[in-house]
This record gives sequence, structure tokens and C-alpha cells, in this order.
Amino acid sequence: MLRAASLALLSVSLVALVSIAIIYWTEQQSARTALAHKSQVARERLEEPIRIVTRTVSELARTAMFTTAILDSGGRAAYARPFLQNYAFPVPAANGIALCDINGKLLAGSRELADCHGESDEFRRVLADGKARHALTRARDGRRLWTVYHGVAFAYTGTTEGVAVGQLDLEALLRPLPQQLGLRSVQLRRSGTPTAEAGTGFSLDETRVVRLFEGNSQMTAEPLEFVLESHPGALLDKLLPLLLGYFLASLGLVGGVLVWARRGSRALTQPLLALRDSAHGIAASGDLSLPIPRAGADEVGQLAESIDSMVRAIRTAEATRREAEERFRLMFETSSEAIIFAWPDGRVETANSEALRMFGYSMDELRALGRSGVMDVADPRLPAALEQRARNGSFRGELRCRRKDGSLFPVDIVSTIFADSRGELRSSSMFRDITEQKQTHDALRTSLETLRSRENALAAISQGVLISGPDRRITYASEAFERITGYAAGDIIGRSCKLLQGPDTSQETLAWMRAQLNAGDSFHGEILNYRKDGTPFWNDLSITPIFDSADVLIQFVGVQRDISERKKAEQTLQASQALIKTVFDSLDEQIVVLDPRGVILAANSAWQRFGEENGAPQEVIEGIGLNYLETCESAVSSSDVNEGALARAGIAEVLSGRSPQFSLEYPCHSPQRQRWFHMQAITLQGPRRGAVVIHENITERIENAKRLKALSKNLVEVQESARRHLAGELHDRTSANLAAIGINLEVAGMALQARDWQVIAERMEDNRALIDDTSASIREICAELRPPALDYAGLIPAIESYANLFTRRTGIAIRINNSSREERLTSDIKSTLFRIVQEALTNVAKHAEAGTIVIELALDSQPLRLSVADDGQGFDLAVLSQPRGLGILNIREMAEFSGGSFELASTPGGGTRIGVELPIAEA
Amino acid sequence: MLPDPEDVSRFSGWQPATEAGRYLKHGISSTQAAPYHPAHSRTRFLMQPLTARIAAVLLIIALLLAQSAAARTIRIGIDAEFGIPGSTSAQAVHHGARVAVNEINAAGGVLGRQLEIVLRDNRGVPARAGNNLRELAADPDVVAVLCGKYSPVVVELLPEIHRLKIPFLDPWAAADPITEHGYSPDYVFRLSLRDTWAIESMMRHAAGRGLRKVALLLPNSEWGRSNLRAAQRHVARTSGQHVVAYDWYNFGDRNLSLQYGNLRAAGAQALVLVANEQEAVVLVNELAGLPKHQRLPIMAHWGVTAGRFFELTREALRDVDLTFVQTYSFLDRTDAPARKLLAGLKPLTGSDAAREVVSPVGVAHAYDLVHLLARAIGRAGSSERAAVRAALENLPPYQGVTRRFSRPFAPGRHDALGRENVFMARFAADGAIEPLPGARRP
Repeated sequence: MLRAASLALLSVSLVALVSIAIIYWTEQQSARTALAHKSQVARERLEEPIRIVTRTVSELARTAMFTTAILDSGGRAAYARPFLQNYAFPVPAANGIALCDINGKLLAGSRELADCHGESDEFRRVLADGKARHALTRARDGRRLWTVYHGVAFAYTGTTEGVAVGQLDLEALLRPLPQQLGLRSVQLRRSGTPTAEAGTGFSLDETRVVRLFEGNSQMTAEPLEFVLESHPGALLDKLLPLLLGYFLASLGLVGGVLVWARRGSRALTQPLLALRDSAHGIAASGDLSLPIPRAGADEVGQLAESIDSMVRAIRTAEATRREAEERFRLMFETSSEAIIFAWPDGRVETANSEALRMFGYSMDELRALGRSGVMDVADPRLPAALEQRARNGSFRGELRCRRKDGSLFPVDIVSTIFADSRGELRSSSMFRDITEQKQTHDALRTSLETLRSRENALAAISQGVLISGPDRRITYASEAFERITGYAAGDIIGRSCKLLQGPDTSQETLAWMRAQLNAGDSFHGEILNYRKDGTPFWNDLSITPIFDSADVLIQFVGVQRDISERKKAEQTLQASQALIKTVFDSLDEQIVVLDPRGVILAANSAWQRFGEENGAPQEVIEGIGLNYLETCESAVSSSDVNEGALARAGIAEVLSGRSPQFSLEYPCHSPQRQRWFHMQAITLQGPRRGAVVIHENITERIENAKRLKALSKNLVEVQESARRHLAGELHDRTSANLAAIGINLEVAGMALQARDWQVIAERMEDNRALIDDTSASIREICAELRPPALDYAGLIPAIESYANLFTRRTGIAIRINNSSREERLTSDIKSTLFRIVQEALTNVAKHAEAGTIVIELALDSQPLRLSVADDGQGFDLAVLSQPRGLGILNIREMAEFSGGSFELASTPGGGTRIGVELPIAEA
Repeated sequence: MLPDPEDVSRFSGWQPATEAGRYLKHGISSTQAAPYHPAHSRTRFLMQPLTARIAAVLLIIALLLAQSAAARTIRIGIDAEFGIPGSTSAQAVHHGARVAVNEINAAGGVLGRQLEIVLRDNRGVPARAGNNLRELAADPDVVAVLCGKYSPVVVELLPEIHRLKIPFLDPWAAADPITEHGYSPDYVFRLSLRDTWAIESMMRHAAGRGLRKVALLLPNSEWGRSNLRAAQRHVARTSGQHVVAYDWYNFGDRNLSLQYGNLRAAGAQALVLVANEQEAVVLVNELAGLPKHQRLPIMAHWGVTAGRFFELTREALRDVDLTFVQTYSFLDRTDAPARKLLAGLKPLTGSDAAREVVSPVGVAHAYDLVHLLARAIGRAGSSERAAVRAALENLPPYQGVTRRFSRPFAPGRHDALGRENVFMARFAADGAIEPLPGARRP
């Protein structure tokens, strides 16, 4: 109650405080705002007159009246003086205006303004620069005056020749302000003057300082400010009644709170007391049936209800306890196990009837005997059991007990030490006669051991063993199975055998397996299985169904062997064998492998093909099993030499090991063509004895050799003929001239002796002509041999110049079609092409009887092409005889020697065309 | 004494056209012959070898001693409107005075002492003139002060002149009150025009041309008011002419068309213009812009010759009938004083041509005044101001440039010239001031 009261008081005072603070604050704010407003007004009321005066002065200073007044005394007297004297400012506080000359002498002015302040700094400065200035001055009686100075400029020179002075009585301005604005005071002072009352802390006096002409330095030389003081006390007036009111209100509130609290508490406590009494009664008497007084639905009522329900719960618990006790007693009595309650030291407290029966004692007897009466004290396990029970609080195990008649029997004991409600240690022990059990147990153990040993034997088998039930679900997997497949036995027990099958497992094998097993037969085969990690392996699998005595299928036993390695080896071997066979058969040469006796062990497909092509008998084509030596004997020889016998002898040498290898070249012509072969027999290396015989078709080689010989012979002939030709040419064309030259020289020599200058001259002249002719002939010959143009100018120009010569000599027209540039030709190619052209043209000249020859060149194609075509009589290609053929042969050989090709087309009467293609070798 | 450097600095925009002006600008006393060159400074002297330096020092000492032994100069102050741009009156006064001073100094000076001119600029502002006067009067060597053209200045100065008791010589300012002030002893001596004579001359000239209705355009100053009074007196005395209207303008007015319009509207046939050169230029330019029938003939006071009026109205002047009063013209003068004056002008202005003399009345008046002053000093036997003043009042006859003076000044008559000296003139095409044909001349 007291707390409530104090709480009420506290809250009231809090509210009071808060509201007072708020009011104070708002009052302050409004006072401040009002003051601010007033200060604005005050500022205007101060500044405006000053501005008016300043403006007036500045305007007057510019008037002609003032400027003239400075210059002209008469004008001054006539206008300025009366004007200024009578000029009434709109501002009552203004003192007036004066016009002063540069010496500070008053020329004309208002009545109140009699002093120019000519000595002041401002006056002098205005004179100096003409700028208007203001100053705060003091009148003689101490009044503060605002004085403004404005320069009067002389029109002709623009210089300041006088000063117009205006003055304002600040006191007069300030005086009415407090009353007008409702303030306590308005004071003017210089900025920076410290306040008389340095106001710190809480002051209800409100002052405000406002600067005059804030921000306008032109208007004031010295910073001025005025201080407004507002009327205090407005706040206090409000404050007192407020406080009083709060005080009274708080009193009332507190009183009310107290009364109300008291009443409330009383209403609360009564039922509580009743409740308390009845609770005490129940507790004291233990009589749970005592009634609980009901109360209302409020907290007390709820409390009563809860107590009531608690009492009820206690009652229920009591009943339950009694029931439990009864049940326990029943259990105790009717238990099939012997139960003895005792003390840890062995004194028996009580035992159930089964215990009495088991041990054969009566209750009293048992009590008298104690533990030692029932336990076999000779049992070595007993002390340890007691100790364990003491340590751990309970003991379970097997011990020996003694009946009344002295017989010992094994028991399974569960004995526990517990503390009863009083805290005494008691023990309860349950005994079970396990004699029979033991017997059964031992028998079982023996059979289990047997089983285990068998299992171990099973596990020792390296092959995996999988046993499944008739439903194909795995019941056992051996260690080896685990090793092979990666499946742990524990994981797969209960799963289907099918778990080993995978995508590549042969469906045929599976089908066969199923068929076998369904038929009750066993299955054995190789099957692709998958390990746990998904890798495949070849499984040599055999599955056997097991039937019981009633011929009912009880299980399948499967044995797995991982034969992957074997399979792999097999495959590798097959692969390598296949590879070797492929190689064997890819070779063009006919190869047979002979055993030491000469029997063909293997023959490649080339051998078989050759046999087929040449009509050999089937056994020869097949080869294998045939005795090669015998075949050689019977071979038909195409020549004088009996190659067959030679071959036989040689191969026999090789087979016997006397020589490592034997080779023979022999002809074997077919009706169509001639063929030569090269046979080689080689001893087999390695452990197996025997030989390999290889036949190679060397026809082409032989033919090439023949051709080469023919070409060489041809070359020699060609050279010879060229030399003959050159010799002939030289002889024909020069010897005559040379002889003539010799004769001329002789004659000249004779004439020299005779000093016959004329003759000498004639002869020399003749000689010169002869020499010229000879030189020309020789040049021609050289050009024919190898035109210099070929080296200096290139192939095309050489051909062109040769063609010109040819045409001149033979009269046959030549047209050259060149569609190329010849920059990239080697000089060999160029020579070859030139010679070909030469030869072709020579040929045409000799045999063709043509009128026009067309030479076509395509030198920048790959291969480059040259053709020489004439419109002569042509010839039959089939009949190509010497000497015509020789030229053409030459051309062909030149082309083919350069790695190119040659083509000849001609029809009798239709002209001839020789075409040559040469591969370009880059220069 | 040198001109106040502060005053000189205010000449910022004014470029001296003459040597004298240059002396003025650079603050060197006008008696020094050579123009101011920094190269002639003392530094050069200090760079001489030691012996020469010692000799120079001894020479300077000797000169100083000689200087102190010799008598101090007599100073004549000229306090006039040098600082007003476009004005030539002060310069003309200065030239005339200088020529006289040169002549007098060349002849040995006065009382064995050389004359020296001291210049002050009052810019036409009475307060300044007063300060200058006080300053000049404080110098015991200053014997007299000449003024410029501004009558208001002189009129305002009258009390001070007589308080300081310094002879004040007026070669130009024309207002009547200058010599009708009632101070005694009278320290103001004028050798110049009087407004009364000017008005008479102008009005008579108008009357002579048959222009009976005359309007006056006057400055709002003592000068203007003096002329108005003179005009009113004149028409009161004579018949046949009357002033139909008069109007005022202020110093520095840039627009006279309103006043002119009013005067013309009042029926004026001629305009009597009292103005110095600034306002005269404004009016003439405005007139030139008007249609011909609206242009009245102008009889102007001699203020139009006090500045660069001709240069600024050359074109407009052709369309305006402008005549003005003068008291002296150099044209066609063959007498010795005139020739001497012209010759003496040449080193100052660069020309001795009569037609090229600027503001000739100022030159001639100042010249005569200085000569008369020198005579007075000689006759007084001292440069003491009161003595000089008395001597000025009692000078013997003197042949000046402007006229022959039987008695230049007398007690009660401090105007040296007379009505008979006034004539009308006009600007010739070359800017020379030509007396009108038929003008009376002594």
C-alpha cells in the first residue's frame, strides 16, 4: 500500500516535472520568438531613420544647390542656407544637415547641426576620396549621434570640394522603443562590449543582441549593436499557480490511492486467509478430504482451485501407490523366480515362495540361515560377485547355490543394492535355476563351434562362394567372394544374385543359366560380371542347387572364379596373332613358312592370290600342309637353267641350318608377259626351326635395267651424232674460208717482197671479209649449239630467236603461243625445254614437210607444258621407225629423264603434235 | 616656395603644355632655367673623382654663402584655377606675369632682389582659395597674390584678404562687388573688366544691331547675379531695350536647351550669355543643332575666352552668331610694349604670333599688373605689404600694354581700366580673337 502511494506520488511528480519543463520550454520559445520579432522591429526602427538621413544627405550632396553653395557665397546664402535651416526631416530624431567646406567650416546647415566635425577622421577621409562615411559621435551633453559625411563634388573637376554632413540623435531614436515594443530596455553599444551581467545558467531575463547594419559594412565604420531586454516574470506568474495546482492534485491523488489500495488489499486477503487455514488443516491432519473453501473466479479463486486440484492429485497418488504396492506384493509372491530381500551383510529379510521352494527352506529357516545358507560359499566367483555388487550397485551373473538337501545347482543371479526410504542399504536378489539352460547352452555351443569351423573352411576356399536361398536371395558370401567382387558380405545378404550382372553380360549365357537352374540342373559357364565398383570381370561360374531330404530346393550354392586375367591374356594373344596375320597378308611378296621338313605351315594371302591368278592347283593355293621342296622339284622352268632344282637345293640348305639364307632370281613368264622373280629363303629365328621363303616380283626392276642400258647406248649415239654434226658444220663452213685466207696471205707475202702494196691491200681486204664470214659462221654454229639468249635472256627469247633462224633456213613459219612467264625455271629445265624444241623442229624439218609449226608454252602451270604441233604429213603411230623415231625417242627420253611425261599424237596427213609435261622444280 | 606636392598630384590628368607647366608639375621652382631631368641629379656629382668632388663641395658652400649674402627673392603668388580641365585663364595670367617677371629680373630685379612667382591651384573653390591665401600670406616673402577668373572666389575671399592685409591683384574676375566692398584700406586692385561695362557693351552692341528684346542666361552665382543687376541698371537707365526674360543655370549643367527654349519663347531677339567656357560650349553646340531661325545672336561675356572654347565648338561656331566682350587684343599692335610682351611669350608658349595668344586678356592684364606691382615695390622701397599697397594707389603714369595709365589706381578707384577699354570681338576662323570692325580701341 505504501508502495502504491509512493508510486502515485512519484508518477505525479514526474508528470509535474515534465509538464513544467514543457511549459517552461514553450514559454521560452515564444518569449524568444517575440523578442526576435521585436528586435527585428527595433532594428528597423533604428536602421530606417539612419538610412533615410544617409540617403537624404547623399541626394542633397549631388544637387546643384549644394555644389553651387560650395563655390558661391551668394548662392549659399540665397538657397542653401534657408533650405537647410528650414528643412524638416521626415525623421524626428534627425538633427539636420550641414554643408561644410574643405576646412570644416560650416557653410550652411540646419539649426540643430552647427558642427561640421571637420577635425574628425571621417571628415578628412571623405575629403580625400569622396566616399561617404558614417561615425558615431557624442554631443557635448553626452548624447550619441549618428553622423554621416558625404562628399560634394565639383562638376568641372570631379574632386570633392565640400562635405555634406547629416546627423541623427540616436538617443531620441532609442528612447521610445522600450515602450513601443513592450521591452524592459533597449540599449545601444559598441560591439564587443562585455555585458554587465555575464548571464550564465538559468536566467528568466531574456536579452537579445542585434547588430546594426549586419553585413553592411558600408553603413557603419564601427560595429554597433543594440541590446533588448524583455520583461521577465511572465514565466514566474504562470509557474506558481501551476506548482500549487500540482501540489494539491498530488495530495488528492495520493490520498485516493491509499484508500483504494487499502480496500483492494482487504478484498484480496480474506479468501487467502481462509485458503491458508484449510491448507494448514489438511497438512496437519493428513485428511485429504477436508474441503477447500471456494473463492471467486479471480486470482484467489484460481489459487483455491489449484490447491484443490493438488489435494486431489495427492489423493490419487496415494491410491496409485497403494495399488502399486499391492501389485508388487502379488508379483513378489507369484514370481517364478526366487526373490530374496536381504541386507548387504547377508541377513535375509524376506523371500518369496518360489525362493523358499527353490532352496527348500521355510521362511524362518531362511531368515535364520541368511545368505550363506543358500549360496555356495565355496564358489570362487562369489567374493568377486559381492565386490562387484558393492562397487557397481548390482551384479548379474552365474553362481552356484545350495539347496537344503545340500545339492548344488547353478543359478543366474541378479542382485542389486539399494537404499530404502530410510537410507539403509538393502539388497534384493533374484535367482533362476539355469541347470537345464546350461545343458542346452553347452550343446548349442558345441554345434556352433562346429559350424564356425566349417565356415572358416569355406572361407578359405579361394574361389568365391555365394549361397542363396531358393528365392535367389543371398544368404552367405565368402571372403573370397568379397575379394573378387568388392561387395561386403554384410551389404549383400538378402539381395538378389543378379547384382553381379551388368550391361555387357551375355544374355544367352544368362538364359542358359536360368534354363539349367529352373530344370534343377547345375550350371557352369563363363560369364561377364561386374564388381561393386562397376568394373567388369570374367567369371568362371558354377551354380549348384541343393535339395533337402524331401527333395525340396533349399538353396543354391554358387562358386565364382575370376578368370579376367586369363581372358585378357587370351585376347592379347589373339590380337597379336591377328596383327601378325594382317602384316603377313599385307605384304605383296608371296611368303610361306616352312617347318624343318619343308612342309608349309603358313602362307600369306599374296601367295594364295598368285596361285589363283596363275591357275595353280588348290592345294598349292592353300599352301598349308604342302611340302614346298617337292613343289619346287616339279616346277616348270622357263629357261635352260633348272631353277627348280637349284631352289630345292638352296632351301634344303637353309632348312638344315647349314646356311642362313639362300636367294635366287628366276624367270616365270606368263603367256601374256615376261616376269622375273627373286626368291629368298631365310632361317627362322627363335626357338622354332624352319624357314621363311619370300618371292618378290622383280620384273619391273629388270625391265628398268634394260631400258637404262638402251638409253645409255642411245645417249652415246646421240653424242656421237652431235659431234659428227658439229665437226661437219665447222668443217663445211670454215675450212674453205680458212684455206682462202691462207692463200691470200701467201700471195700477200709474195707481194710484200715485191713491195706491191696494192696487192697486199687487196688481199688483206679479202682476208678481212673472209674472217668476218668465218666469224659469222662460227657464231651461227655456237648459236645453234647453245644460244646465248637462253642464258642471258631466258627460254622464250631463245626459242623465239631460234625459231627465227629456223624459219629463215627452212622457210617454215613458226608461231609461238606463250601464256606464261619463265622466271622460276631452273637452267636445267630451260635447257631441256630448248633442246626439246630444237629436236622437235629438226624433226619437223626432216620428215614432216610442214608449212606451219605452232609452239605452245605454259610455263607457270604445274607441271609446265610444252607442245609442238605441225601441219605436215603426219605418220602412223603404230609404225614408228628409225630414223624418225629416234628424234621422237630423244624427246621422250629428255622429258622422262626430267621426271616429266611425253605424249605424241599424229595421224597420216593430219599433222603431228608432240606434248611434253615437266614438273617444275623451283629455281 | 614650391607648389604643394599634394596639390600638384591632383593635376594627374593635366599635361603641362609649356615649360612653365612642366616646372610646375615636377615641383621645381620656376627660376631654374633647365627643365627637370633626373640625370642632372646629385648622383652624377658623386661619381666624380675625389678632388673634383671636394672642389664641388667648396663651390656649393661658396654659393650658399653668396646666396645668403644676396637678398631674398620677392615672391608673387598666383592662386588660380589651374586644376580645372579645359580652362586657360589661369595659365594666361601666369604667362603674362612670368614675362613681366623675366623682364624685371633681367633688368636687375626690384630693390636688388629677384622676383619669383609662386603658383597655387584653388580649382575655383573659395575654401581652397582661402587656404592658399592664408598659406601665401604666411610667407613673409610673398608681397602680393594674383587671382584667376572666378568672381565668387574673390568675393568670398574679400574678408580674408583684408584680415590678412595682403595686396590682391585681380587680372580677370569681373564681378562688380570685387571693387565695391567697402573694406578700407582696400587691398584689392583690379586691372580687368567689370560686369557693368560688359553688360553695357553687350547691350549696346545688341541695340546697335536693332535687337531690342534681350534675354539673359546667367550662372547661378555671384557673377551671374552681378550681371543681372548690371543689366537691370542698364535697361533702367537707357531706353529702347528691355530684358524680356532671364534664366539661370548651375555650374556643370550639361543641358541649357530648356532655359534657352524658355528665353526664346519669351520673345527674345538676342541672348546675353554670361558663362565660362564649359557652359558656353554646351549652349553653342545646342544652338548649332537648332534650325537657323531658332538661333538667336549671342552676346557673351568674356568667359568664352577663358578656356578651350574655340577648339570644342569649332564646327558649331560657324552656325552661331557669337560675339563677346574683350578689353585687349594683340592683333595689329605695333607698340613696343606689345612687341616686348609677345617676344617674351615665345619662350613660354613657343609662339610670338599675336593670333596665337591664348586668352589674351589674361596675359595682358597680368603683365601690366606685375609691372605696376614692381613699380610700386620700387617706389615703396620695401616689400612690406602695407607699403606696397599704399604705393600701388599712388603710382605715376605708366605706359602699359593694355593702355597708357595716367594713374593706374587711386584711393576709391581700384579699377585700372575703364569703360572705354571694352569692345566686342569674335573668333576668327583660326581661333584668333578679332575685334569687331569698328570697335573702339584706345
